[in-house]
Amino acid sequence: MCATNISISPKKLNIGQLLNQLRNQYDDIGAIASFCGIVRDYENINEKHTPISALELEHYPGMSEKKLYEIADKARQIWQLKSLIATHRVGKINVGEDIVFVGTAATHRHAAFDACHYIVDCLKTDAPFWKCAYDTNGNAHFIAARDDDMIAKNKWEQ
Amino acid sequence: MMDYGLICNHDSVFSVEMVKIYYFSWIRQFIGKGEEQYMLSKHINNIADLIADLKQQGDGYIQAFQHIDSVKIAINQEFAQIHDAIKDGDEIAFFPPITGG
Repeated sequence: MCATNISISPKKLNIGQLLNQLRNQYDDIGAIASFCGIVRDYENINEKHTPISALELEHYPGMSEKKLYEIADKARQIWQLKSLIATHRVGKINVGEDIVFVGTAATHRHAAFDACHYIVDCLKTDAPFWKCAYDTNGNAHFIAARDDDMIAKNKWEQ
Repeated sequence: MMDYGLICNHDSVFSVEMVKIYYFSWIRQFIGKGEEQYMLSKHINNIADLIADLKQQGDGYIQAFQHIDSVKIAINQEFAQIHDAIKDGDEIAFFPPITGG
């Protein structure tokens, strides 16, 4: 059994609480791997380094949850996981705040590392979320997708 | 003798095929709304037909679908391609490449 928690919410993430939730599921957990995406203080907008104050995260309600569950299901088929959390924030998120948390717990480290990496790479291309950045003047800019994200995800399919 | 043909033939008179369309990110911004109910005319059989029809609805639609390679499609919350068939009651979404995480 793998305790799975998928969520999408405008609420701030409490990373400590999420890590505790991952490790408290079973006594045979020997490894936890986690990824946290954070709003950095700049974005490349039209190939120009642009200081920003916040991101606005939009999603496709229904499909975003569905895709996160599908990605989690696939990860659990490939790796022996004990617990799994994928939680994504939506709405306005200020610089320095967390956007997304993915955590995986397993008996040994390789499953935890690989599953976490896999889930993040798939989420980046398959879960319908979009970023809009607010520059320091308050102007909104939609963020362009990165080719690197698709390359990273495709590596798992080889 | 009275002719009830028009009244009795409910299928042709009242049956209207509709889809629900969602738009996200800059596509929503161009079109000026996030969702709409859209009538499927007889000639709309797939996504390409639908886009061609939508582009008749105004400049915002033309701009949104100008660079079709940058537009991702979902039918009933599954990724789809431009020549995939659509039918009455489908939920269709148009959005840019994903940038979450």
